Amino acid sequence: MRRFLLARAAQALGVIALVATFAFVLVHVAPGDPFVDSLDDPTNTGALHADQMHRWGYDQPLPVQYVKWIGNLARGNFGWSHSRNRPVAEVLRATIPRTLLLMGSALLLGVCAGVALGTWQAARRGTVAERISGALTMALLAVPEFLVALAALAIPAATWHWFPVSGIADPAGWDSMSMIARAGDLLWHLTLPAGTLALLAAAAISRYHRTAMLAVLPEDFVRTARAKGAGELTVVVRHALRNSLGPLITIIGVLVPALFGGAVFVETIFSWPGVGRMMFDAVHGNDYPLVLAGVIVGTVFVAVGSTLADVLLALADPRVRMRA
Amino acid sequence: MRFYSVRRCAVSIFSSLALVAACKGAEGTAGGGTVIVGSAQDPKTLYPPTADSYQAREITELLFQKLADRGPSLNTVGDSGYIPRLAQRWDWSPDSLRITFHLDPQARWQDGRAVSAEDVRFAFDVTTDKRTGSRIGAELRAALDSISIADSSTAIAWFHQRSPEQFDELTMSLTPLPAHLLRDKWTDSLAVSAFSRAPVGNGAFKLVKWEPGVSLEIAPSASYPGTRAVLDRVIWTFAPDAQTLSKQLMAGESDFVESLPPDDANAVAKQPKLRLVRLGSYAYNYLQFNLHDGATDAPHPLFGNRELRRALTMALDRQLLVRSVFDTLGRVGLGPFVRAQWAADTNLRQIAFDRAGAARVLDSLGWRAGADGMRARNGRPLAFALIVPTSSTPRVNYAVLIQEQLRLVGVKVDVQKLDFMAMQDRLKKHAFDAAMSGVGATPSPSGVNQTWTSTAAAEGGFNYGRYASRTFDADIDSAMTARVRGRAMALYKAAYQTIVDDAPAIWLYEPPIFAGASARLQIGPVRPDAWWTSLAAWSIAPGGRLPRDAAPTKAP
Repeated sequence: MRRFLLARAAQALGVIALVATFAFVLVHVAPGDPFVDSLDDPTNTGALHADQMHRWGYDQPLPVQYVKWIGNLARGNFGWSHSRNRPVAEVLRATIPRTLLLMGSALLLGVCAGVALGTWQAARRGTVAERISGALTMALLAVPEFLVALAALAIPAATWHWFPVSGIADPAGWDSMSMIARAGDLLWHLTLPAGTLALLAAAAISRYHRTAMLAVLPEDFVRTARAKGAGELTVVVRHALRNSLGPLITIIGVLVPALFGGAVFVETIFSWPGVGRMMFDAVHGNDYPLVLAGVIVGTVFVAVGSTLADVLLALADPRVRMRA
Repeated sequence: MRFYSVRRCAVSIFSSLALVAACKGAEGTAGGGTVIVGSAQDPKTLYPPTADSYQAREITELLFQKLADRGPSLNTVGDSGYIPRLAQRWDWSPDSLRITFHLDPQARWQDGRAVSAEDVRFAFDVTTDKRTGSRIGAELRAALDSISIADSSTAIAWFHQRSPEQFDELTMSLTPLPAHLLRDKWTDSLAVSAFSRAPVGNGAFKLVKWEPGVSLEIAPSASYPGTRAVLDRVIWTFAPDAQTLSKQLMAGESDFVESLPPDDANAVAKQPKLRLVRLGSYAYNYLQFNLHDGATDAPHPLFGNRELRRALTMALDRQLLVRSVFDTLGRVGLGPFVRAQWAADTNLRQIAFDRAGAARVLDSLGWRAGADGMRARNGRPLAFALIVPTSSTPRVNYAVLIQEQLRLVGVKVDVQKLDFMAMQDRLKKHAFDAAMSGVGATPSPSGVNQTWTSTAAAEGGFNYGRYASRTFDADIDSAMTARVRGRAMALYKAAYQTIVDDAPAIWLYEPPIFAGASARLQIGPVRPDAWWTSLAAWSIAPGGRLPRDAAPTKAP
């Protein structure tokens, strides 16, 4: 297992290095720079702009900038965020936990709802209700994240006022709240953004899980369980469901990058101050160090998600462990 | 019935815990209340010399005072109408090359130290130091030679030369800084120092906390010698999406949104609990012609011709364009200025809309309509590319409408939508035929010097279309040095008329700037260029108080 983990870690590092290098080149060859933020401001003169570019080393040849960046990165220095006027590491320390909270909640909700729905659909295969729910999940899968987010913003938040429109906490009341009240407030603000991502994750998981369940339900051990007089609920949940969870681990691994991509839209629309929103601001402001840090964080999320899925799969299925 | 249950459940489960604290707060003493302001982005920095963005300006100007501030007339010539701030009074030398500022002895930094003349000199030194990277530093350096200290509460500003706007340039650009806190730090590190994120100011408000990307809170400063702000606190919340900001306001989660998109402005106007606040428009947008062939000095094959440019201007119904894009909220642009500036002239002779007249001029220039109605001359079609940034919906809408209106006179326009940075790159390289551009202005009309004169056409300048007119340059130069406001106005008018007649651009619109406010706010008159200047006097209507207006208490 240790060799397996080391191999995956080395592979993940290679992927991160490749993606970071690619992103570095792309960011620098794209039009604009961190100090050109307005077409309409005549006070941002050419001389001042050149001074700023020189001061931060952006006038040096790209390979020189790259070597410096890699060197700093190796020392754990992510650089300075121009758009937030503070070290990138400080920005990451604030934003990563918020994104992990959002993605973690969405994943948990999505998996629970997706597995429940997929199981129910498989058990009710061929019924009208199953067909309708299947069509609905397909439709959900086809809708882009930002549309679902905008609908959630417009209806439950802005029209019905069930949930806050945006933010992570009540800005006026937070400091006065007890720990329990803060947890409640955070949960209240988390519901829509996490719910939006969870809805999309649940739709995807339910489709895969339904198929997995359909493959398991005709198996001999399920028929045996029925023959022994087990109730339908016991047959489905205790026997079929447990044996169909293997592929789910792989799907979760695949879902992590998708969720991270979705988080960029969802965090922007709901003003959830996580890595996705940070990326949006950074790209908008051509904040090179912050964009690159965001890319690295995103790649790490993907690599960790994928590795974790492999490890869980290996733990759950001895055959996979043997092959590894 | 089911919806009602769901709603009740949701509200009770998710908000009951939060309301425990809110109710506790509501029991507190009735103070001035809390105003939540919705803003599109963080201020980036709170260090005055580098506070360039709109958001940074508004917050630093609440935390720091200047020597004097523009009055409601927004005059920028001489010192007429200026309101004393840190300086109680000032004296001019007979030759106007020296202004002596007498500081308010009551003025205090928020750490208790008195504001001194040394703070004024220190601020001048760091703002004009190139290592600071201040955009206003260059202007200040060009206008002022130095600042000297007569005594601890008297600072003397020495100017290179006298100019009508020298007082405005000094007082608007220079924000005194606490020398006792910053003197020992490296000048080039100040802009990124901890002070730039948690400054010690001397204004009516002090910074309470700032969580980047989340919120920023200010509260009345106890050390401020003037009248205490009525409100207990003002909290900015940040949301990059304009729709989110509008919805926050409509849902009652914020009290004030400083810039509403035109569509949302109409929606806000219809809500009884909200109202629109029209702010001064300090920007004008136009279709800019490149008068040269790319980056070369050769005239542009189309727009090098003045009569052709005038004909295209004549072919556009600018009033209809404004109505189509902004409904009744927008105003047609009149020239390289905005109506809110004191030198604005709404009676300039404009190139009036006359589609038939435009067709006649094009005919006379040899651009004949073919069977398809599109014009050509010597086999070359009358066609050009119009670049427009995708980041601006009004500009994109305008480009499409212009394309259609010019088609009616046989001109083919190829609208090219570009990413903001790509557009900027094309402009700087002069790699365009025509562009949907805009300029941010200030109450001073002298900014035109940086965007339309021939000196601004040089490398790094903002005259991307490289319009050059000696008459225009001379009039602007004279207007900027005229010491009598009436004379300056006449010269500005002459310059504006020259450029309007030359048509290096089609002046399209002054974008309407609307803020949305909750009806519970008692705002009073708002200065059109800076709504926040009256924030200290804002209050909450007695019937409009909410739990969040209770004085903040510490968590149990």
